[in-house]
Amino acid sequence: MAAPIALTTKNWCLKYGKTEALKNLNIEIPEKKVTAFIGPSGCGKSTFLRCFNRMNDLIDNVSVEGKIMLYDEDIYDPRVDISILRQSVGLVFQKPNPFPKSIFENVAYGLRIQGKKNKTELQDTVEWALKNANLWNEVHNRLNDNSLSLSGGQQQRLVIARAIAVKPQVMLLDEPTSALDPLSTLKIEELILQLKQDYTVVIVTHNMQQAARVSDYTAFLYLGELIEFNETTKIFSTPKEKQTEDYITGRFG
Amino acid sequence: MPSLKQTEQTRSWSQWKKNGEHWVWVNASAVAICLIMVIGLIGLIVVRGLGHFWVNDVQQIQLQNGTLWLGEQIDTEKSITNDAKQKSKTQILYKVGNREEYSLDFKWFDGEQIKNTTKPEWVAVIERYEWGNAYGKITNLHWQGKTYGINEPQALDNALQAVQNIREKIHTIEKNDIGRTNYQLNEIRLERKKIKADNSLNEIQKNKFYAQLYHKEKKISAHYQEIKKELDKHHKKLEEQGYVTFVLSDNKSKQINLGHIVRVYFPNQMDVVDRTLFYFEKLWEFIIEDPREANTEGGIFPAIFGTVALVMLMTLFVTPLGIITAIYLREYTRQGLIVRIIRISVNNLAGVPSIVYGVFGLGFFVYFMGGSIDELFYSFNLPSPTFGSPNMLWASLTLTLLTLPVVIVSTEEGLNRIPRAIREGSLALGSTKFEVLWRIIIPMISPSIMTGIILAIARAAGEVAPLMLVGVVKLAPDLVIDGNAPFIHLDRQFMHLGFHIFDVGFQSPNIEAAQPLVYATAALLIFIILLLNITTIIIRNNLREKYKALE
Ligand SMILES: Nc1ncnc2c1ncn2[C@@H]1O[C@H](COP(=O)(O)OP(=O)(O)O)[C@@H](O)[C@H]1O
Ligand SMILES: [Mg+2]
Repeated sequence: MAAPIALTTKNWCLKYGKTEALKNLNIEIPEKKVTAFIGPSGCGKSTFLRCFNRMNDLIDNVSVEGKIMLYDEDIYDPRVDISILRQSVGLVFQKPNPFPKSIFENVAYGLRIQGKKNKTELQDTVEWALKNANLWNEVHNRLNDNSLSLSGGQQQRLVIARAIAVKPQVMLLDEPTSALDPLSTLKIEELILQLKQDYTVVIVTHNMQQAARVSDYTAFLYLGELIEFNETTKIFSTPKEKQTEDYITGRFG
Repeated sequence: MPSLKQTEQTRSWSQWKKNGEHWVWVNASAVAICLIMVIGLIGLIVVRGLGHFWVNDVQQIQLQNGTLWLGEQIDTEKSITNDAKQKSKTQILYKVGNREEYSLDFKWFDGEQIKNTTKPEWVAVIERYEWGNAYGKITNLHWQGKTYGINEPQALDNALQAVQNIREKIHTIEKNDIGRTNYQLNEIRLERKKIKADNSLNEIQKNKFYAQLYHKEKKISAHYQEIKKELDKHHKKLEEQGYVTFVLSDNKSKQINLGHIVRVYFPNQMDVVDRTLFYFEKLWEFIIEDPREANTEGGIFPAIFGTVALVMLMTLFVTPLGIITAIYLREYTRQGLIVRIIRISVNNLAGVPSIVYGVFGLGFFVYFMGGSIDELFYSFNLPSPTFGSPNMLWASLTLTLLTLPVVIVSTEEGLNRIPRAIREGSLALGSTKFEVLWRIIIPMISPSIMTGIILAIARAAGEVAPLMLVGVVKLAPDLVIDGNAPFIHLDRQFMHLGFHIFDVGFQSPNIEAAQPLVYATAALLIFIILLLNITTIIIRNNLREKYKALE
């Protein structure tokens, strides 16, 4: 793997109370590439993804062990400011969750949290983010409309624009297209390919074709363990593990 | 193949019941009964209350024994006698006015006593500032030294207009100038007490302050004397305007001073248009004037003002308190046994009888809080209380406690409905918990909060019992807000429509005069509550439109 590494996990374990959800995971996610997490549902993909911006901190009985590094910083260091971490590691959810505010205010939200008030700066950033999320052409003349008036696919792109407006280093996408129709899915996939020019992208998907289409690297998780991690072409052509092959060929899952 | 059409049997009662149609009918009748009761209640209040301002004809009643009376017919009653042979007797209630003559405005006549009734055109009704209405015949007018006969009605109009102008001047002076100077003099009195009680000042300093105050007081007193002179001049002028000579039904002649007359009208000469105009004039007067004659005449403006001010102040207190409490309970505490107990207690508070809140308000707010404030900040004024007596502030705080549960419960319900995804979405962008609450959640739950406020207003505006202990009075000449700095005087007592109904209806010696006023005040109270509620509902619907939650 020639590319520099953005995210590293070392002996990463996570427990919900007493049940182990993630077991001793070691992975190195390269910078400015798309990495896909695949695996049967309930295997811990979302849990793992949410570790990278510490969303699991919100759940009461979670305990973790091991290390996760963003470049050379330990993100679970007690001195880390979670707000800053979450701004550099953005997360997009399965179901689009725009705020019940205007389109403009949705995208500007992260900036306002950072205390930015300059109007032209806000406008410029919002425009830039919406253009990068391939949404500008559809909404530029109704930025003040309520975001809930957008279609599902547009909402999901809006949420992506909202995440990139704060200029993160990493974008985490948790099954971003599973609630969308095929056409919207296609648009999001195009967007992902475009995003990797500037960001490190990690995407969870249960759709093999999607993983094959958009990702450079693929990790296969099973029952909380990392079974195999490699370049996507290799995983899909010559999987090393029997379980991976079975899953990809649809023999279980 | 069986037929799809209904057979005779499937249309039967049992089939009907199986479809649940009888429940539909039960529900519909329940709704109908509720509607009939509500409409009946409001209809009764509105008809009786607003009918009061309509001008009725004045009848001349001739009795069998030859005596004559003038009066408005108010009511008829059939008294049932036990004696089967005797016909049931009718009794008729007339408003005969002229209270200073007959000691009562109202009189019952036996139907059999009355020989006949007529409606003579010449009957005049004179509304007076004291002693109520006078019914009779105007014979002539003495105005500014000249005498006018009844064939010069224009003269009467002019005279009354002149009187009205003088009255307005007097009113302005009394309300504004006298009120202000009294207020200033009182402030100086308090200031003097304050200096006297201030131990950090030595005698020389004190004397210096006293001298300053004395100087100030002298100036204001001098000004006061001037105003007083001016006022006396107007009063004298008013008295000297003249009088009308007036013949009562029993041919007794009287002089009524022009200065005591509110208005004069000739009901039997009025057509529908006149009466309608007159009706709105009276209604308007009822809304904007101060009460007269132990609250049985004039208007109820101070009570309207007090009610609205009380409700608004209560809203101002209860909204932030309720929101903060609900947010703390729902978002910041661990959802354990203690929170459950607190929540149950809050819900049960809504069921505590309101008079209990009144007792609590009197004990805690008035005596304890008010007493402490007086001791700490107004000790110079003791033993006379400043905040240690019932007033607007304590009344609105008592109502705040009373309505707090509904606001808390509605806010919590709103918080429960916020989808998890929205909170996470905001947190994932790096906002803190407080920012999520402030920027996303509170705007989103604002419609629920408004629902709580609507319920709170509806409950608070109708409460009377607790207010009687913590601040309401039957007559409060000074409003809570006026032109004297600091403009808002929460240490004052106030009037309230609900209490006014009780006071006029049940504490007044003049029952017949009071009854329609009870209905009119009730109608107004309902109308004001409706207005307050509609306003908040409109605000809520706008907010709902704005923050349509994710589905
Ligand atoms: N909040 C939670 N509390 C307890 N167990 C959880 C929680 N969230 C997920 N789990 C469990 O952790 C495992 C992994 O879940 P998840 O990461 O959502 O799987 P995936 O996204 O791969 O479908 C599942 O067995 C699930 O039941
Ligand atoms: Mg998942």
